[in-house]
This record gives sequence, structure tokens and C-alpha cells, in this order.
Amino acid sequence: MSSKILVIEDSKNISLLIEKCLERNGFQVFLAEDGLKAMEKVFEIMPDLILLDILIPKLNGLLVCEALKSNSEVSKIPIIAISAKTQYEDIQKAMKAGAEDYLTKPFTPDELIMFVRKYI
Amino acid sequence: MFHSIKGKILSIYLFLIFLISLIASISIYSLFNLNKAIDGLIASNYTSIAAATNMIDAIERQDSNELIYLEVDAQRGIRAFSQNQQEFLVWLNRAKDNITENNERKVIESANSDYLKYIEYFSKLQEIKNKSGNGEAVKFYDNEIYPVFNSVKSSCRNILKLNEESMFKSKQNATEISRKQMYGTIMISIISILLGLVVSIYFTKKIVSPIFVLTEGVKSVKRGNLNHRININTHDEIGELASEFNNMTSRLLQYDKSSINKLMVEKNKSIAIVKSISDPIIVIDNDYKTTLVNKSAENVFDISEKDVLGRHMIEALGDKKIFNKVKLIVNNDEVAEDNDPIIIKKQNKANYYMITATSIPNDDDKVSGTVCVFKDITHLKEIEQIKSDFISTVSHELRTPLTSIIMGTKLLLDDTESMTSEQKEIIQAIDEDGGQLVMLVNDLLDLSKLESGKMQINLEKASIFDIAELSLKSLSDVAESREIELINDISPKLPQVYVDYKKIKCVINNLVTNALKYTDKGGIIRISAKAEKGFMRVSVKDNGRGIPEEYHEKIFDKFSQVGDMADASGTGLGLAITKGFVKQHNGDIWVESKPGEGSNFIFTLPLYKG
Repeated sequence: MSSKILVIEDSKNISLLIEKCLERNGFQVFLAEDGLKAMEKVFEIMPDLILLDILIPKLNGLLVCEALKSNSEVSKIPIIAISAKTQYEDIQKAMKAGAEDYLTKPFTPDELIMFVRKYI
Repeated sequence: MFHSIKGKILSIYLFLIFLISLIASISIYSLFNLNKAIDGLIASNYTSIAAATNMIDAIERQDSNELIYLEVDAQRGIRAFSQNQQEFLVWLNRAKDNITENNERKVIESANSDYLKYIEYFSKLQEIKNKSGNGEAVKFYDNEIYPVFNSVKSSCRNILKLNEESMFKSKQNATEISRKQMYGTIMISIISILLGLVVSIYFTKKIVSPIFVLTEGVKSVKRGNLNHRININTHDEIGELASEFNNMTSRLLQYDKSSINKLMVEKNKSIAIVKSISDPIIVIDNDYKTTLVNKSAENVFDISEKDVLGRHMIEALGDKKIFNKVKLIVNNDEVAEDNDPIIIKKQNKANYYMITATSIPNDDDKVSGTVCVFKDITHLKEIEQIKSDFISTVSHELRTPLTSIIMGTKLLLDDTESMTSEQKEIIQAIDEDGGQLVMLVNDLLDLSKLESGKMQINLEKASIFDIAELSLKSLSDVAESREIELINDISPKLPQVYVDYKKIKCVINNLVTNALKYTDKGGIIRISAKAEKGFMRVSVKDNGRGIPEEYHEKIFDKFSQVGDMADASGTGLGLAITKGFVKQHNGDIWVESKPGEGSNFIFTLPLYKG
């Protein structure tokens, strides 16, 4: 059984490309385009890894991260935060919210796979 | 004539000559008097005394002659008697001619009459002798002649005595006169000396005292009191000098007033200019005391000129930071600008001011004060902030679509077998420029962070040798492909530096990448370092094309290009970011280069201090 990865990203183009990239590498990909849907999907799918864009509608990525990390059921699922923000403070915030890693946009497929492979 | 100093001195001389002449005349007169007294003493009485003495002699001889006549030889006696009679009469006449004393005439007359009687009695004696014989004659002589003889003799003695007394009196008189003359002369001499002295002192003082007044006047003018007038009303040379002096000082005063007037006009003009300038200006003296504050400064610092004039800058502005900056600038250079603006908060809005301090030279080329201009750069700061925010926003906004482009091209490039070669080329072009775009966005973001001061820096001790080694390793493939030799000449034993490892690696990467771009095949790029003056001096030297001097500063600006050396593969921000990183370490970076002789980029880094 291939690993399940939940991609929480509001940009359809990016989520499409991430999905293709991960599928090529043998992962099973699930998508969510906002915070609320993401919360539902996590419990529904119980993924092995979550790729979480910080800037997503309805429920901010940082809040999603905090919520998931505070729930013992899903707190063990590693979360890689994805953001266009490159400031040191932004990274700090994500780490504080419980993210395992931080991937800044833009990134290449190789970089993405390298990050993912660290956790699966 | 007597108004001039010459005349005055001459008149004193004349007066002294007059005094001397007076004393001389008085002395001569006294001597004359004395002489007269002595003269009288000798002339008047001496004749009478001589006459009286001779008369006594003559009569005594006559008496002897009578006795000779009587007892010895009558003829001889008569002859001698008449001889001596003649002599007696000669002296008697002399005495008569020289009557000087009061009773003298009476005494001479009695002597004369007695003598006539005596001569008469001698005739009688001769008659008696002839008639009555010698015995009767002797009797007559004893009874009659001898008393007359004694009477004549006593009269003569009286004359003698009278004159002797008179002579003694005259002598006393002469002594008295000489004494009186002496005292008189002494008195007059003393009076003359005193008078001469008083007159001399008085006139000398009168001549000299205006000179003192003049001297005081000159001193007063020297002290700058041009209003001083010398009050000398004499008509001599000094009076003339004083009046010329007064003329001179009044001319000076006039000149002074007109120059002061001009200066005042110039000063007011300058003040008006300063006051009307919209940037705050504060003028201070060498002790940092406020001497001028313009309207704008009053508004900005919320002070009033009249309250702060003459007060120390700290006290006047209530802000030590501004004072410290001004002090730093003043002590550094003649005209200097501080690159770090000061912030003044007003109504919750931060205003930024750049301080420029210009010293005011005085005529000895020394500094007499400083003009502090506070250039309002708030607007520039705002624009800078907007620009920075804009760049930051744009770069962030570009990142998401860039991710799609990068991801998309890369995914396509993973499977090129189904593509035509044309499709493959297009995808590769997109991929290449997509990568370029990512670099540009990253560089822009770095630069905006550096410019807005938001760039983090993590200082740690590090070995410059290691950093260079790592950097060269990452570029060794490129160098090899271009057949350029990379040499790390840094000694591993050098002291450690205190830097942000990643940033310095980036600095060396940028410099070596640049060198690689502008060095031809077979070239050498050498990195060296040495510690000096508390800094590590790192050099990246190539033997490439070199940079003309006019670009040595410009190349560190954003998007700058050296002449026609278009940098197709770079973003044009590399050196600006490199400089920003070095500056973040309080270091400096510059280039030494000549076209055709290669370039040497040098930067300094702080050493690790325990």
C-alpha cells in the first residue's frame, strides 16, 4: 500500500502539479482547497504526511496546523508547511504551530520529493 | 612763541637766568659794600693815626730839642726845633685834611692852638734865656712850656685814640656788613633755589602732563574705545598732536560704524536666509551652545528660540542622541553627513532627519561654530518603505505562479521521449528562464530585506579557510568546464572570524562566480586572506578582463553594468547583495582593477574576539 499524502493548497494549478509529481513517485494523493475541508479530510483519510499551504482560505494554515497537532489522534502525522513567505519570522511561526518542516515556494519536483522522503 | 614747548622751555631757562643774574647782582652789591667799608676803615682813619703818631714824635723831639737848646747847644737846638716844627705842621695839616670823626675837628683845633702856644712859648724861652739867663729859662720851661707840651701831646693822643676807636668801630661795622650780606645772599639763594625748583617742576609738569593724557588716550583706543576723546587744550605741539589724534579716532569710529553697518546688513541677510529655509537649522558655538534656531527647528523640536539661545544643545533639545551625532560629525570632518537618520516623533508620526554639520570658520581659519541642518527625509523614507513593501509583495505574489512554472517544466522535462525536439527546446527555454526568474525574485527579496534592515544575521565564529573551501568546491565543476583554475591561498591557521557563515559563503560564491564570468580560458582565480587591524581582509583575485576605474564604485549598485559587458546570466543584483552582506558585518568591500589586468575584490570581516 502506497503512502497517503494530503495536499492542502488553494491554488488549483499548484495542487495539480504537486499531485502529478507525487503520483509519479508512487504516492497516493488527496487534495483539499481550504482549511475547513482539510480538517475533515485529515480525519477521513488519516494520511501519512500532510503538505500544508499556510495561506489558504476559511481556516488559516497555521490554525489548521495547531488544531491537528493538539489532537492526539492525528498529532503524529508529519506536516510540511508550504509558503511563498520567506521571512525568518514566518518560518518560526510555522514551526511554533507544530509543522515538522517548511518548504518555500518556488520549489522544484526534486526538492518536493526530497522533503517528502524525509518523512515517509 | 611761548605757546610752543620750545618757547615754554626757553621761558623757564630765561627765568632761571634772571634768577641767577639777580643773585649775582645782589652778591656784587654786597661785595661792593663790604669793600667800601674796608676801604673807609683803611683810608679815613689810618692817615689820622699816622699823622697823630708822627705829631707825637715831632713834638717829643721838639721837647728834646728845647732841652738841647737849654742845656747843650742852643744853635743846634733851635735848628732841630724848627725842623721838627715843620714836620709837626705837615702832619697836623694832614690830620686837618682828614677829619673823619665827630670830635676830631675840636681836638685838632685844640692841638693846633696849644701847639701855636707852645711855639710862642719857645720864642719866649729864647727871649728869657737871652735876657734872664739859663736859670730863668729852665724855670719857664718847667712852669709854662712843659704843661703846654703835655697838652699838645695829649691832644695828639686824643686824635690817635679817637681814630683808633673809630677804626675799631669801622672794623666791627665791616664785619657786621659782611655778616648781613652773607645772610642776605644765603636767604636770597635759598629763595631763588626754591623758586627755581617750584617754577621748573610746575612748568615741567605742565608740559609733560598732556603727554600722560595722550598716552592714556592711545591705550584706551587700543582697547577698542573709539569714542575716547583726548581733552588737551594747550596750543603747543602736544595740543596739535592731540587734536590730530582725536581726528584720527573719529575717522576710525566713522569707518568702524560704516563697516559694522555693512556687516549688520550682511548678518541680517544671512539670518533671514537661514530662518526662511524649510529644513530645521540650529547653529551652535564651539561649546555646543545654541546661537541660532530657525522657524522650522522651533516647530520640529517644539522649542522657542528665545528660550534656548545660549543654552547647551542637550538642554535646548532635551535629546542627547542628537547632540552625540552632531558631536561625532563635528569631530570627524569639516563637512560631514551622518548616514543614519535621527527619528523625531511628532503626533505619533515618526519623522526622519539627516544631520549635516558645517563648521563656521573665523578669520584665523579656526572653527567658531557649527551649522546643523536637519534634512527632512521622512518623505524619502516613506517612499523607500513603499518600494520595499512593493518589492516584497511582488516577489511573494510571483512565487506561487513561479512554482507552477518550475514544477510544470520540470515534470515535463522528466518525460521528454514523447516530445519533438522543438517542444523539448521550448520547454528547456522556459525552464532556464524560470530558474533565472526565481533567482531574480530571491535576489530582489534579499535586497529589499537588506535595505529595510529586516535581513537576519546569525553571527558565529568560523574559519574563513573552511568557508572559502566550501564555496570553491561548489563552483569547481563550472571552473573545470571553463578551464579556469581556482586556488584557495588562505592559511588554515588564520584567526577565526565572527560572521554569518551562509552569507559569507554567498559573498565568496558571488565574487568567484563573477570572476568566472569575466575570466577567459586558462585563467586563475585566487582567494587569499590576512588578518590586520582587528579585521580579516579577504581577497578574490582574477586575471580576467578587469574593470575600468569609473565603474569601481558603480558596480556595487543595483542593476549596474560595466560598459558593454552585459551580464546575461546574472540578475544584476549580485554585487549589491554581496555589499549588503559585507556591510551587515560592519565590513567594507571594494575593487582594485585595471582593464586587461584582472580584478581584485577585497572585503573585510570582523575577527572573533574570544
